[in-house]
Amino acid sequence: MQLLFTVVSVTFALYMILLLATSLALVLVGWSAVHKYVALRPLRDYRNVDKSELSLPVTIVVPAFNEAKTIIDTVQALLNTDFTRIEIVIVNDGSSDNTIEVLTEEFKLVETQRVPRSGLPTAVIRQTFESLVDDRISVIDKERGGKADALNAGINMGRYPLICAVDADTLLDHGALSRLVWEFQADPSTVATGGIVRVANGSLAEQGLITRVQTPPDFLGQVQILEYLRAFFGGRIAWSSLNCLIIISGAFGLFRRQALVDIGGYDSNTVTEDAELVLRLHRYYRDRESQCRITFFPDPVCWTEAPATASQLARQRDRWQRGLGQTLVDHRSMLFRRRYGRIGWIALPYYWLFEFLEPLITTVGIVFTTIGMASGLVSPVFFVSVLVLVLAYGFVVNMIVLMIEERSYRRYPMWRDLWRLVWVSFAENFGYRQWQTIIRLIAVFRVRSAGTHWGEMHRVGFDAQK
Amino acid sequence: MSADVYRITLIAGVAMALGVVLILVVTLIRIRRSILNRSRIRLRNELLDSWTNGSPDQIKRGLTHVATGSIRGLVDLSTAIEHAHRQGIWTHDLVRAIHAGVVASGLGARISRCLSDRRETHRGMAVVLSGLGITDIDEHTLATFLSDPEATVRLAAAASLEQYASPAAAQELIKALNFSLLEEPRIIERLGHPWAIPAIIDSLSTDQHTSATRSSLLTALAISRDPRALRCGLEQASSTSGEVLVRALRVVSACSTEATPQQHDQIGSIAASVASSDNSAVRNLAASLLVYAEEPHRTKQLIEMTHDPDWFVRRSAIQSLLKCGPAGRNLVLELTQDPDPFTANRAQEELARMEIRARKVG
Repeated sequence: MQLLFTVVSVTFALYMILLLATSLALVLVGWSAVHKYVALRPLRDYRNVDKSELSLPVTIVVPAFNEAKTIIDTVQALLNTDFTRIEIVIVNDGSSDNTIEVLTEEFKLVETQRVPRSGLPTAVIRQTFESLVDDRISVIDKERGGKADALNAGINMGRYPLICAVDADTLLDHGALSRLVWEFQADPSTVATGGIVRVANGSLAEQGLITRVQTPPDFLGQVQILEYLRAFFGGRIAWSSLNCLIIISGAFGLFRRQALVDIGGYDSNTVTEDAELVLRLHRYYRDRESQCRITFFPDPVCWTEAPATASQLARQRDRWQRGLGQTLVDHRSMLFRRRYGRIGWIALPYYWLFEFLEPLITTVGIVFTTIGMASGLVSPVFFVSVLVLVLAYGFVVNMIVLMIEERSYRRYPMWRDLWRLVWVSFAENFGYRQWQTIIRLIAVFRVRSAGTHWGEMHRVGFDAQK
Repeated sequence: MSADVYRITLIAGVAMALGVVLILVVTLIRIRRSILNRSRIRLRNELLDSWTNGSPDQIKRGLTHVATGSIRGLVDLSTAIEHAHRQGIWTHDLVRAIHAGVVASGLGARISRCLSDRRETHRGMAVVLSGLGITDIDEHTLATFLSDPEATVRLAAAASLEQYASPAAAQELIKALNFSLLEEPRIIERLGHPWAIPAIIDSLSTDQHTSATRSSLLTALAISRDPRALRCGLEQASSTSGEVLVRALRVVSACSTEATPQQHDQIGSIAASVASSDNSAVRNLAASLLVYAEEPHRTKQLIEMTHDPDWFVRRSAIQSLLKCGPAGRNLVLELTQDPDPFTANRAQEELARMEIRARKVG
């Protein structure tokens, strides 16, 4: 028995050390990438992206399901971006609220005929509209089919070579789009790019633009700010610079339209269509031995309204974990295959071991070590060391992420906000992380259960934050 | 037991100390960044003040700070120049005065050194500043950075050559097209301006370029929409074929609004002559340009083109018909009942679009 406890406890300790080392390595690679990006920023002529007639125009697809509260602000933000070579296709996915009425009233929509440019399968399209206020806006009203289905409908109707998928509860920074388009133009092998998504809770928004960035007073909002920073600065950027990015956030990503059509669009059978799509893009191009660049940039910013209550947050995280599991299981044949290079040998094993199975391994490890200590099979020093390792892992990574933020963008200029973020870096280890682990653990066992419907959320609306 | 307590206390103490150190580092980074930001704003304001007052000594003093400081100083100088542009004080006289200051302060030598630096940020910043006319770096030197290993520097070099807006800069960009140093659209967008038109027309009048380069140069003419480009476009359209013809027709299409009545006739006849080309891109442009052709051939050809095998040609033909007055509109109305669903749908869509435009005007 003692041997079993010892083996499990030592394995768990090694796992935690490996996790800490990998996270540190990723966050340091991320730091270097952010530093380089920020240093090169003054050399980039972003203004020319909008000025040039040869810039690639963008179809922005905004899938909307019961988004009456935020949709107008979102569209206004899109219209206010500095990149004007756009069309905005809002896809109303069978909303049961007054999304379509709100849009019709605000943008003076009139019914029109619109011919699809590609034939991705979608639910039935009821009507298409164009705006009398701004001819860049059009609306597709369709039967409910889920977010992936709505995105596919938008891709079918899109006229331009680049497709930007934007959630209906997000606000884009003024220059976000031109910065992403610039990346496509700097390297023609780019098929997809993603930008950093930040939490808008607590910040002030006016006419679709975030005018003052600050942290919200509630713990949930603060901790999510930190989590987003950690995910982007401590993960995506590093994976991108290693050319193994497998997730581009569904809230804000830019894709080559032809690439999306070639791979058959978004998959309606998964709950995290964004991750699944990127992995399929990698697979498609690597199967054909074609060059494909899928990247992430820290600068283009999109603001999202994060869940404000514990139950909404739990639902969201459950969905993310299940989606990750579904995607990893569906693409398991890419694991350890030479054809898929670093994706198959580094990124996917990492996501299996340190993202998807992490809650399971952590829970088993902590339970075994605790029981072992209580029954005298594991020494108290070892137990405390493991506990410190578990706590230090999160805190050290959080603090390095805050250092990156402070050195690069410093979007939270007030000292109060910095202290809040430092405080939640510490406080999240006592209760919040354990709660998240339980939610994710349950999701691990429910990968194949439940449907693929929208992760519907109660919206406060950006108006409420003015 | 006491040894265990000691060890546990030690581990907890080390962890806490690490935590405190990390918090201190974050705090220090913020303080340092605040100080740095303040000093950068001070430098920028000092530069702008010296440029507003115009005293050569003051200008030299400000630039000396840039020359002796870190690379950030060069970034601040470029930001200050941007501010000067916005404030409307960036005049030829000021550029001359700053140029003199750059030479006297040693900043010119520093920028030249940066050009050969192994760090892309240094090379890039020097390239950006070179394009602003405040250094002695010429177009030829700048053009060597069009083949820099870092994409950002390559693009910055193209942008700086555009800033020069000189015949030599145009020649360098045209040379870059020949050698495919940069993605074609990224060079063309820098060339497609009135200052480059004479150099492009000169290049097209010789036989020294490949058809790929000629096509690119014609695209640059098309995006310039300069009236001088139309004549060249018409000449090329009547004497070339393949991709060059497509691009020449694009020049004609882009500049057709500036055409004289005589040129309108010429456009119409060129469009009619290429309307049955094997190349669908040529037919597509011909369908757009046929609005300038004489009746009754115009309508007859456009009607034929609404059943073209190529979807884009059908769309252009329908759009052109709608520009041919009430008769054309009636023909499009008839096309909404066409047995070909693509043609019928497109006709419906174009009519709906026209109606929306009319309502907007209303």
